[in-house]
Amino acid sequence: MTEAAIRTSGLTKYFGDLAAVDGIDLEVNTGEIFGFLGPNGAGKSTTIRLLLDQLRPTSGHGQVLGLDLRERSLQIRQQIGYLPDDLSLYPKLTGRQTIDFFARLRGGVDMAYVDELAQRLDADLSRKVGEYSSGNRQKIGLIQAFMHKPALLILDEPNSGLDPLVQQTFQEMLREVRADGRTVFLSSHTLSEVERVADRVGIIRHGRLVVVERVDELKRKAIRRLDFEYSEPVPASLFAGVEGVRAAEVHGAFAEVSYEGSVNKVLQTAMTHEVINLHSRDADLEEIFLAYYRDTDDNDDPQGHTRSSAPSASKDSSHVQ
Amino acid sequence: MSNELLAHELRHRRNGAVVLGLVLAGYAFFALAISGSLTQTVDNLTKNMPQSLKAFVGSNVPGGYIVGETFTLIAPIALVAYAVIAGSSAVAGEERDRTMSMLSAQPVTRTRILTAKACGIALSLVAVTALFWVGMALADLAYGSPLTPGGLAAGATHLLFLGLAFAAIALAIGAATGRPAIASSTAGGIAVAAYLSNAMLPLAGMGRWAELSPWYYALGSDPLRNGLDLPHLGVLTGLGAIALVVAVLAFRRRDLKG
Ligand SMILES: Nc1ncnc2c1ncn2[C@@H]1O[C@H](COP(=O)(O)OP(=O)(O)OP(=O)(O)O)[C@@H](O)[C@H]1O
Ligand SMILES: [Mg+2]
Repeated sequence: MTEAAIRTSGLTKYFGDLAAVDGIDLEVNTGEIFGFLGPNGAGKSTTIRLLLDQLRPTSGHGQVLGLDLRERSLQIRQQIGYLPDDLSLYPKLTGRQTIDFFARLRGGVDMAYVDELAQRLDADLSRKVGEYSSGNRQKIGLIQAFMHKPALLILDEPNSGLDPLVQQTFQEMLREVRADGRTVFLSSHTLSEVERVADRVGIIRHGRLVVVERVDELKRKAIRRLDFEYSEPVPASLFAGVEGVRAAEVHGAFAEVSYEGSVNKVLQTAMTHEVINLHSRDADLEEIFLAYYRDTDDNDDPQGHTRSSAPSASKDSSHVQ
Repeated sequence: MSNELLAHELRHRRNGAVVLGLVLAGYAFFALAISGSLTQTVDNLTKNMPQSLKAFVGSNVPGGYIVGETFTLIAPIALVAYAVIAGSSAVAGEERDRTMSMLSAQPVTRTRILTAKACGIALSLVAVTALFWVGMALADLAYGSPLTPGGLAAGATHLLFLGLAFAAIALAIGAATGRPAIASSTAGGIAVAAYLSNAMLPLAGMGRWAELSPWYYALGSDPLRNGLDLPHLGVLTGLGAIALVVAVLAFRRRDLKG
């Protein structure tokens, strides 16, 4: 019962000389929502396609639902729901025909549940897929992934093309899957897309798993930004030396502050002058990466990730007056 | 479950196969209908030609020039072209269109995907050939000709096996490379080269070499006159079977593209 939903060890995939996935040791627990984050070309889709046996690993191995990826792929695929990135469907089939086809291919799909999903996602099943907007196509893909109540959902950038309302419904559906004791593995570029639902996230970059962290922990470490507008120009050195401040840029009456950890000290400092406007910006993924690279500064990092990101990091800190 | 895959494949191919079959049937019907009058003219023209040149022109076939053109040129080229296009797009086309990603994530093995596609193409070719034969047989009934429905059926069967062999070759190249353009250009190139060598080598007195061409086994035994040639059909079947085995082995081994 306590077996991991996904476990890989040293999973590696080379395309020619390029290590798209480079020695990934991943463990996703049964019953959790795991966010798999990384920038373009980091190796997210490649990892997922290795799990599905669509690509064959150069080295390393793994298990999904306790079954070997290579030997037992058919049994694995019986128990998972998958949404590919950049989803393509048969353009001449209607949404309904598409769902029916995949449902019959699996067997044992409850069509009443399909209708329920379609209704919740507000999906139009009557038209030909080729005529759909990309969001509508994505909904067909989601229904197809959820319809057989799989033990594990593997979703590659599921949010793409969905409007905010549908995204909300989708996140509810994910929470229900978790409440059901089932597992979700979903990839994304940005933390903001997964932070509300994911229990843990793994960050992949250049094919390497940089960190796996609980989301609440990650948020605590994340660098965030506040922009202040003052009633009159403030000293350029206002935020220098304040606890948690990573970078601060002051232009007359405007200040942009990046900080990590508690916002308290930043606010206290900011309030020493009269603030007329305050704007908070979401921490974006890149900043979280940078935060992690800084953390690994002291550690031995043979891949040189730290060095490659160092210029932008030092550029930031040079703004501290 | 794999019936579902096959049904899906047939739904996908149905319209194209029916249209091609009807066009061929219509063409064959009218070709036979007018062949009586035209045969005389062409026979006069080719009377003194050597046998191999007559074969090249197609006037040595029972029913004469038009039937010859239909059976040695139009119908086989149409069937082989259809076979190459269908074969090369079957597996590799889904990768190009990126629908393979979802299909291969379903609980079906790659072998089953491939065999369903192969069966779908084979049945489509059977349907096209059958429609073509029906067109011929109807004209034969209506207008009479030196051909018998049995001879026509034998000729059509040989063409069917030729189509099946080239479909399997195209399927194998597509299954091995995942690239429909490479599959269709390679298999199409092989088909053209083989056609030309079968047609030209006898003219150059190198008839034995023509036996390397699959076309030889479709046309060489003159099935319209002589009926089915089982060894020749066996050669085409063997070729197709080898290509299918290669297709399965290659498709199971490699990374999927889309
Ligand atoms: N079939 C392939 N052949 C060669 N290189 C490939 C292939 N597939 C992926 N790559 C390369 O492998 C790397 C990882 O790609 P991958 O698609 O896994 O990234 P990703 O994290 O999913 O990116 P994105 O966020 O853009 O979807 C990229 O550099 C990509 O160019
Ligand atoms: Mg991707």
